[in-house]
Amino acid sequence: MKSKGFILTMDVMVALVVAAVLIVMIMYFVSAPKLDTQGYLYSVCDDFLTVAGKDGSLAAAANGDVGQVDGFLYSMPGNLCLNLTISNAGGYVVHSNSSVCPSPVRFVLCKRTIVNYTNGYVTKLGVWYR
Amino acid sequence: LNMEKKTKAEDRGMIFTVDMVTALFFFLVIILSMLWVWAEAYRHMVDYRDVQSRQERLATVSSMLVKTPGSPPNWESSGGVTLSGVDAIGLAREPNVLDEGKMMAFMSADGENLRERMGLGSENFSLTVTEDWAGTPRIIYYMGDSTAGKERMIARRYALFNGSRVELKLEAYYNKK
Repeated sequence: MKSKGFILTMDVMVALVVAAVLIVMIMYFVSAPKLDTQGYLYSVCDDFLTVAGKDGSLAAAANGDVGQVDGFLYSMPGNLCLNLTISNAGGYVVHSNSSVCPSPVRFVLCKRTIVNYTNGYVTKLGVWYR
Repeated sequence: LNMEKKTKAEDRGMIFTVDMVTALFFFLVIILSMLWVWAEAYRHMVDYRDVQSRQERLATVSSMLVKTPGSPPNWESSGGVTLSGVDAIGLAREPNVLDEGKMMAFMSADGENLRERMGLGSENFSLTVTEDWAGTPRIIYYMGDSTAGKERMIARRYALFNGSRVELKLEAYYNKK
């Protein structure tokens, strides 16, 4: 009587638990894939620097008139965070501004060099999802 | 002798013992669960690939619109409403600077032909060009059918138009497979 088999032995319970864990893991990894959205962030980053470069906002900001470039930065969609830094050739930051956002885990960084009269400036823009 | 027979009868195996039925029940539950999980996972994979390809396509199309003049570069004067001889649509005079002539030609072109030349698949689309989009939005151009499809994807791009910053919002509408 003692040696008669029973369906819910410890072995079976362990096997069932392991199977359930595996099923949940497979469900998690397969059913919730993450779309690669870094390409879109790069597009927005590039658009920002290109437009701000062409309409003179970056050059104006390098000269101390930061209203236009900051206005552009604040007009970006609310789900995006941006961090703009303009430095001169010596590495001194002449202007920096960012959206009110938590620190990024992953972000896209674009750089653009502008020449304002005879001075060169490096503009860096980081973009990430809020 | 009777005692011996009775004992043998009790020991004799039966195909539907309680253990067997319970084991079959668990077995079927696990098999059916696995089949359900597999079907769900497959459905999610198909959805994921579908969304990913649509998203990549929308990003590519939006870049073509904002960054390139199209092919041929003077398509706005040669294509007409039917866009005959036009290979690709672009709205830019130079990267991130929109051309008014191309915008006008885009707005007057046939939507179905535009969709094909832009490289959109089965998606319908709408395009909105807005000035001062974060303050008091002023829509400069709008084209499309926003009711065509339950699902929606948006690509927002930024450019200059007549010296002003504008937001170009390209929306794609589709139904899930």
